[in-house]
Amino acid sequence: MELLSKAKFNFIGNRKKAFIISGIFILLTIVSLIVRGGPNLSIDFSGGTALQFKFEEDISPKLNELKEVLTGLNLGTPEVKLIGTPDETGSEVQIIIKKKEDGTAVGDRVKSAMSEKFPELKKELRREEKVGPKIGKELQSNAIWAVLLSLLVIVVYIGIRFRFAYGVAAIVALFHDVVITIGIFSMLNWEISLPIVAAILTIVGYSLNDTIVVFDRIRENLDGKKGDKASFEDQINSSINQTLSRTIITSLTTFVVVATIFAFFMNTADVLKYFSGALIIGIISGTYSSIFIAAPTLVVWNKKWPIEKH
Amino acid sequence: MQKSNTMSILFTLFFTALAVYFLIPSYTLYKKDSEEQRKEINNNPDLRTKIINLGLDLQGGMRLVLEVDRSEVKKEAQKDLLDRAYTIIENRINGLGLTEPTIQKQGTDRLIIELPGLNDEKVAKEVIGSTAQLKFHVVRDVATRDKAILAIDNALRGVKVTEEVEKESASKDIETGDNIFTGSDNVEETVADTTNESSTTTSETETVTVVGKKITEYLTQIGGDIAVLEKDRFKVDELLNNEKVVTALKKGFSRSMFLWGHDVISSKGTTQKYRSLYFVKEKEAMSGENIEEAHPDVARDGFSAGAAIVSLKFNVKGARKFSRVTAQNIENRLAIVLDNTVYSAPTINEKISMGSAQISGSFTMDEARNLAVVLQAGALPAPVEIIEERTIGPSLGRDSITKATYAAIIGFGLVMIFMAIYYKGAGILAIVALFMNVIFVLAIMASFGATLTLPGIAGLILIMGMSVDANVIIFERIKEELKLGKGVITSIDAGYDRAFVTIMDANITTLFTAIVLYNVGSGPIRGFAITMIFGIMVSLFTALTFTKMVFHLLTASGKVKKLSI
Repeated sequence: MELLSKAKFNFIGNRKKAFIISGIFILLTIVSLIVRGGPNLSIDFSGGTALQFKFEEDISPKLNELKEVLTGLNLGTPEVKLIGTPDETGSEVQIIIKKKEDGTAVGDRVKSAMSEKFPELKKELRREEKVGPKIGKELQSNAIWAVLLSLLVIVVYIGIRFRFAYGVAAIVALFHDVVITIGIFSMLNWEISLPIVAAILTIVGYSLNDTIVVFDRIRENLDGKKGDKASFEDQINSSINQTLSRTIITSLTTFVVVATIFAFFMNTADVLKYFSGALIIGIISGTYSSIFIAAPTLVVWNKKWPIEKH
Repeated sequence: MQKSNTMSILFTLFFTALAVYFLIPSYTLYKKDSEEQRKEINNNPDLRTKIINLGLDLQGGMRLVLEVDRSEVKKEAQKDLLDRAYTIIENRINGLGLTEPTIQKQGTDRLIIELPGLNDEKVAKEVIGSTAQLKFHVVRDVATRDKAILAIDNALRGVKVTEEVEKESASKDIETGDNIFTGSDNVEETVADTTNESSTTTSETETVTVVGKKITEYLTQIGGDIAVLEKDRFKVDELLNNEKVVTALKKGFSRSMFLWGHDVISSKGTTQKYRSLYFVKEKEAMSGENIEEAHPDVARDGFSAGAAIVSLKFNVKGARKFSRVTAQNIENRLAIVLDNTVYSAPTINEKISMGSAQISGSFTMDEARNLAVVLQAGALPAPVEIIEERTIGPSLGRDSITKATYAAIIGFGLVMIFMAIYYKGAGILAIVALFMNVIFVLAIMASFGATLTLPGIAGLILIMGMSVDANVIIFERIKEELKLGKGVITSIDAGYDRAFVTIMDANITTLFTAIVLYNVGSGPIRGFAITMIFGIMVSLFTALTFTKMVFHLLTASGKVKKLSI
């Protein structure tokens, strides 16, 4: 079976359109971040307490009351959310209280307030997490270091294996992917937690795979016998076209697998929902950026600083 | 050629068998139900290095990060502060009788504790986190106490306090206030009255500013002690900490202080919950450092026979001190205080020279046991703060495993179908390689005793998708070579050769990020990084060697003219 093997799209010729589309997305990201006052950081980074309860009945009519009770404890503004949809097994609720200072036993006070004000509700604690403010800050800086370090290692590696220009092109594409992921999370108002940073790092590593497939072909074509005859743009274009089926299929198989995870965890508030969500965004963005950002960046770079043969 | 092929086949079979062998302990363990699993691991702690361990997010449990507060520790004690804290907390955890607890030091100030399968997170936190400073304080006599309370009320005159008052029952509060200290009979009635009045649970509240709020309004008497309604506890604390009150107390009662009781009590005939408030000498009569042994027991005599108690035994030095203290305080009450909370305050009837004492209170046997564990392990050399805490209930863990397993099976199935349709024969080869990848990764994890977490399962699923990628790159390359008209065997070799470079580059970069993640992450993220690292290495290996070997096997005879790819 063949898919796209006879592709002859003019990717490079249309690069301005691609840059504009990406530019718009990035702009949307910035707007969203400004409107929402920064990324929605989970308690991993902001510090605070999160609890998740499963009730034996459908508690959605009592949510507002619950929120009032918890606000009255003066522990900070609580976020009370229903997770998934209530069914015959009951309903699940998540309570998040973000604090900048360390509270004493916020979790215990929430639990005792709930037992006191709603004694008839049978509940089960599914999860409780508390992160002190100090650790929150540490995790933040660790996360940022991890991302920067990875990007650095990658630039260096690609720079060595190919040419410096390729390293730059790769970073531009990766940066684009990371920003878009954070942007879409911001637009959906999804929390950025530690696992999400892990997902972003995974995207950084994975998105590179596609980019390398294209770069590899570019290098092969430029070095080959035909290298001198065709123009740089044409070389790049044909490289992309030649590897198109590879790029699409590899992304497709991983996408299918990750989308399945997302499908199963969609109705929960579990880590894997947002984790797989981030991976989905990353895979799509990564494929797009390998074709429409990384390679065209090489063309732009080449115009100013011609890339030598290997 | 034939010989090396046979060798290859033998090697593959050998390694596959080895992998399955490594997985056997995990398989036999997890087939049992959770009770048996626990017993098995308890009896056989080495087992953990031979199986795939389940992370806390899959089996449920609690993870605590404790930080030692060095601020008030003397210079000489600073050096082995963390080690001492480590030992004491380890003893406490072991005393709780939990399965497979782990405790690790981190840096100079932190301890990381993991308690799988924990059922009661509150108890664990109390036992682990409490400083466990045991002290004995003499309780002040009633007259002194009442004078102190009067002084507080005087100090509060003219002090503005904002509070929420229930609209109807505001007047009722004052009535109760008038009736304290007039004997227990009256109290029962008044308490009963207030209960009747506030039977409407949704009363409106308003915020009012009250001048000269008396602390006596919150106080009642139960037994011989002052008691405060549990819900008023924070208000009373606020009043006691008010600067005017503190000054007044310092002036007339500088060597005394108020301490809260540990137990929540109720007065006869009501369901209201109260907490006792004690007025004690500030300097402790003696501390608990001379306790040699503590164990839970059952009270044998007295009116609380049959109740759970903690029995203490002092060492020689402690026994002597205790004898002296009790002799000097006959007819007084001695408060037994743990971490500034009064557990009980019995009256001393005679000098106790036997060096043993009992702590009684309204404990359950479990609570007595936990208290004994803490007292036995000893007080922490410095207070610890719980700076991070993650608890996952077992039901959530189970649900996550179920969902993730389904996702894995279905995802895998979809990829299988695609590969078979698109790459036909070669696709099926890729699927076999995929199976092997999964088995190998799991076997490697088992041989290291690595921990599988929920993101780790996601990592495995991701690896399944990614390992297919390597095969796709190779197959596409082979197809290209075939189209150029090259022969079957040449195409295969050329395909693998040229694809090798691409696959290495691609996987190494992903490997780098996984390594960064491993170093920077903790807990579940580490689990993810580990499965990624092993997964990438294994899939690299199978993609480049195993599948190539099979191709060679099938085409070695030279008879195959067309590849099913």
